[in-house]
Amino acid sequence: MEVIARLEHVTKTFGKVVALNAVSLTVSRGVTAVLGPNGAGKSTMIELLSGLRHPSSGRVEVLGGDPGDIAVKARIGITPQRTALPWRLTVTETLDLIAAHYPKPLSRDEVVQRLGLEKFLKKRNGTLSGGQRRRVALGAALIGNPELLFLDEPTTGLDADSRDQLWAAIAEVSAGGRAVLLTTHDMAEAEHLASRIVVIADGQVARDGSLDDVIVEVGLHLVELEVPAGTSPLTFTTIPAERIEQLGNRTKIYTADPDATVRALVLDRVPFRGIRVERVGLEEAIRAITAGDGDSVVPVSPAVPSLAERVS
Amino acid sequence: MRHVLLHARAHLRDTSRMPVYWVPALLFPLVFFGLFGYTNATSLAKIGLGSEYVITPFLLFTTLNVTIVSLSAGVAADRENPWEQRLRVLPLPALSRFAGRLLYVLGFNLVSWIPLLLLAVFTTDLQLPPSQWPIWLGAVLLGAIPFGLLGMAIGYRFPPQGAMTVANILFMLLAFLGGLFVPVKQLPAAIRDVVVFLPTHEYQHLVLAIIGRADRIAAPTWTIGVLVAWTVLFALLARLAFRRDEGVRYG
Repeated sequence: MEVIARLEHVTKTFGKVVALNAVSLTVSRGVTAVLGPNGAGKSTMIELLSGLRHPSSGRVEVLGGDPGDIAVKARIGITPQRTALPWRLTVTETLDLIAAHYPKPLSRDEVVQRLGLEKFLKKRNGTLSGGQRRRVALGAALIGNPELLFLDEPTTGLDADSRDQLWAAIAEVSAGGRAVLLTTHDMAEAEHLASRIVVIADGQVARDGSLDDVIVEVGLHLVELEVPAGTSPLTFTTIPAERIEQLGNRTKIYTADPDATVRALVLDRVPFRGIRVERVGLEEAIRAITAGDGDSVVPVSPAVPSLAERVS
Repeated sequence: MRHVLLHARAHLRDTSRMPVYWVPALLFPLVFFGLFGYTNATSLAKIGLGSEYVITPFLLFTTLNVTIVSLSAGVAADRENPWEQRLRVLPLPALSRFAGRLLYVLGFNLVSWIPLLLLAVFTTDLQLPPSQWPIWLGAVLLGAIPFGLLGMAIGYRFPPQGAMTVANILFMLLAFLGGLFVPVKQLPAAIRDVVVFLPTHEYQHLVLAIIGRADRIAAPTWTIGVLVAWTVLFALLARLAFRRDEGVRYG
């Protein structure tokens, strides 16, 4: 598989904070989604790969060169996390300004059509809605006809229609043979677009593989059941579980060993009905992998957790 | 060069859509000249001298205001702007973006002079032949380059509010001590010998000398060369401030 970009033992520190810690990673064609909680190091990774920042140690290589080289920059596109547009220029002027810097840009009409920008071409960026700005920002990233596209949370804050339109455009770009590296907190986005998932936790690559690989590797199952109203949390004290959630008469048990969990429910005569057992989705898998990292701490209990820890 | 022009044009477009910025920039020199310069121009006319002796310092004052104060404030504000970060990933040397910005400021200066020049032409005794206008205004424009570099140095070194304050203090000091408000001979004796080495003094010296009106400036012509030294110094300061900002912001 052709490697488009790579990080080799890259560490990036900001003062005493280690944003990335000896990370090694390659980026190939297709869509790679980088997931992880806030502060995990996702945006820092994109900033390093796009040449915006320099690593504290280690090596970053993009399209065979240094990401800071002009020749490399001519082959990449980026939408930063904060929408970056000149507020008083129109959409047309912005796209034309960006396109003028690239050797083989796409035609403005092609980008406009692909992203549905026709209706607000003559509007100034500052007068656009959040969703429209996101689309223009993606257009600005695409118009240089990049081989490698970095998208830092490209659909955050968009309504469903705008998001679908952007997803379609990103999928089209990827299908055209380009490499796309996107960060997102939206698991549906990762599931919909990505052929590869990279999970960042504590500034390190915690998982790297296909969607199924990541979920299977985590090996977490959800046992969901219905119990009579008023059932005491103490009922589940002896049930093997990583975490238990109770909402009304519905109980969700996250477990690494669903057979043992169901066996224990039966043996302990827990009065349940409507039981359902399934492998957890990407969101739960990511939560399990990144537990304790970043701003969204989700504790995964030890083998024999206390009741207070297990019942939330 | 194409990219320099592109960025200069984008800045001009941006500014032209912000009347709150350019209207005061056009009115300020007009009001200032009306209050402080017009009487001097009339006095000069009485002794047979053209008002270009008075218009020139006001032209420089206007130019310095745009080039030092507005530029530094703009650069400092843009450093906080995500668009600036977006521009950094364009396949373009940083120098081209700077040159584009400098070119824009010089271009904006041309516009800011129009009201003042119209007032001078229609209400004062401007004796400068039309053939000398291009070299007169050209000298004002080229002589502004070191001050543009100073504006960039301040803009990259200080946060927006700080940049505005530092730029205003330097601008007023340089303008006053450089003899743009009052003739140097009216300054205290202790600083009279030093001001000849100030960039603003030699800026005025250059512009008046090029139109043959430097007869009221006591300093020898060679001191105009001081401007070159200041240009190098301000360029180094701008580079240093930019490098420092890169390290802090993107290091």
